[in-house]
Amino acid sequence: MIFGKGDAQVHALTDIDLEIRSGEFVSIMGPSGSGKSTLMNILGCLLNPVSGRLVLDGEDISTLNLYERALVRNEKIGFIFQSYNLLPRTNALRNVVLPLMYNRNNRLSRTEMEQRAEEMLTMVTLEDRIFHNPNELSGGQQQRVAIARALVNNPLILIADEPTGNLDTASGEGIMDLIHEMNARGTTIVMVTHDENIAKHSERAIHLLDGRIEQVVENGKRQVLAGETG
Amino acid sequence: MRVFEIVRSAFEAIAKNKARSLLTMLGIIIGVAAVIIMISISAGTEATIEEEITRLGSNLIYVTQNFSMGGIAGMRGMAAGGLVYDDAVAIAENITGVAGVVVEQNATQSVKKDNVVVDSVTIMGTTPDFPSVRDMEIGEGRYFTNQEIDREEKVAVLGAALAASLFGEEDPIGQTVIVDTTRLAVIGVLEEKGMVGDVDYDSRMYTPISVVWKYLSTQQFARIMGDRVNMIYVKISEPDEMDRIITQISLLLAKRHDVTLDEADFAITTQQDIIGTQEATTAAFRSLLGWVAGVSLVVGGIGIMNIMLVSVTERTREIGIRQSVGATPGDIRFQFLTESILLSITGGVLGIVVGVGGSTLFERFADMRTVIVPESILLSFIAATAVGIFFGFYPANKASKLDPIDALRHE
Repeated sequence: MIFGKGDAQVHALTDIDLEIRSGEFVSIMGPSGSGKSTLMNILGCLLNPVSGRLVLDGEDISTLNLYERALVRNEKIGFIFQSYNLLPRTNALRNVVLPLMYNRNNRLSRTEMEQRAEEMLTMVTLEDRIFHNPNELSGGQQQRVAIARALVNNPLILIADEPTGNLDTASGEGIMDLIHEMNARGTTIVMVTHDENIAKHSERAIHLLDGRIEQVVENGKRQVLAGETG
Repeated sequence: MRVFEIVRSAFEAIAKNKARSLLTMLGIIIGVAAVIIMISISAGTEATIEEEITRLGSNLIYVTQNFSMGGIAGMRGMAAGGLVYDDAVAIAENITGVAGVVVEQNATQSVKKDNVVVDSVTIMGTTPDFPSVRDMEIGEGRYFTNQEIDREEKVAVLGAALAASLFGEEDPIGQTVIVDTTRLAVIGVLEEKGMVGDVDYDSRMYTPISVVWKYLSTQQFARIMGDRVNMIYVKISEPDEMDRIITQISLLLAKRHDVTLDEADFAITTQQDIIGTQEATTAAFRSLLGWVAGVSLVVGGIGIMNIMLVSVTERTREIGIRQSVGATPGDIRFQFLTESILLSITGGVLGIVVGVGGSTLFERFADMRTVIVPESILLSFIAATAVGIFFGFYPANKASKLDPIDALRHE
């Protein structure tokens, strides 16, 4: 998978030339206003760049219309947000089923969808919370539901926007462990954060400043990092 | 997005705000109920009219004075007395196929019995064939005879309701009632007939026409004029001969009155004409109600649109979440459209329940005949759905065009 060949000239970003390899764990860092949200939105197919190209999985996705971008988000991209963004008054299972419902390629029955969602919730160790609504779950648990939802369609890339920003240290570490686990299973991770300690989990940290790439820090192997934080 | 899931979440969204949803649906409920109730009332009226046709038969011709004649012809008509008793005699004698001829001349007076007074009673001066021509049954006693007309006998036959108000439980036959200064002997009471059209036959009094001429006309002039009648009923034997007999009566009366048909001082109508007028009135009434119901549905639709716009704003975040996991603009539009349609359909179903219930109550407690027309239920259901689609489209389309990034950021 290749991102890049881009000089995305949005107001917030200039001369971004970035390539993210399949299976990589990349973090995007920078102070407020550095353009990291804009970069995330472009990578997440929520926003088209004003100019430049974005290639995902060999397909140029920088000129797609609203409908086509929705399909790309559904099948190839999973999001997790700082504020979890689960549907309120909707239980964990149905939140996780949601992307399957919008998927136009699967031919799953409702029962099969629920089975698949249940597997995902089991994977994030919430098998005994599947019928709980978000307001009955802790922040860490809500973020786990969000991860299950983000990955239920087997996306190529998981985009995480400050995934631990609203969590205490212990819950945050639990979430980071889970993200590592997903990465180990082959999911590409792009994580936006302003927290150095969290960014150290990634293999590569891209530092933005005033809409340009300021520096790229190669952190080396994850095992080394795990040793440091563990 | 699977249809089932969309309908389910639409249901949940509506159930979440029960009071608000109910108020939103109120316009539709009222509109649909109004359509059903009004159509059932008008269908009830039509059924009554149809029964009247069968009851009265289609073989009755009414000859009346033509008051619309202006100018000299109209004046001459008045001066010559318009329709007179002899016109009726001439019709009976000269035209074949006539089964009976009846005349009437009314006066309106107070009727007294001891200290009981009934005001504004219509006193019908008629001839002996009246009960058979107008299809009325004698309950007690008898109707008067030709002899009594010739002798100007002061006798009276009472309508059932009038008899009850004057005599209560007493037997009226053989007793005396007083009209103005004239004492009349009661010789009969008619069976109850009820309202036919807008005429209450039961509260009238019937006397020989000669008695009305001589004693009961309120105008001195009319008393002097003698044998004027204001209506001649002609009952014919064969309904098929209606046209021929109408033509012959017209020619006969024109000749007797020395007028051409164009300036005739009389008018001939049939039961069908009268029913036709009633039906036209009903139809006009119904189309007016149709407009009222239509306006109410539109107002209901605007209510739905208003609430859906509020809902789209309130749920912007939810829309953003759905977009982020891959809902297309079409998915979002369909979701909100389903919600507004569901609101209007639920309103429609409740409206049908209220409408059918209301019609039944009208029938039972308002003494109005109603007939529930199945088409009106189908029609109002379709109208409600159409309102949901029409007024739901704008908010749904607005939701589908939200920018996912803005929507996700929305608090």
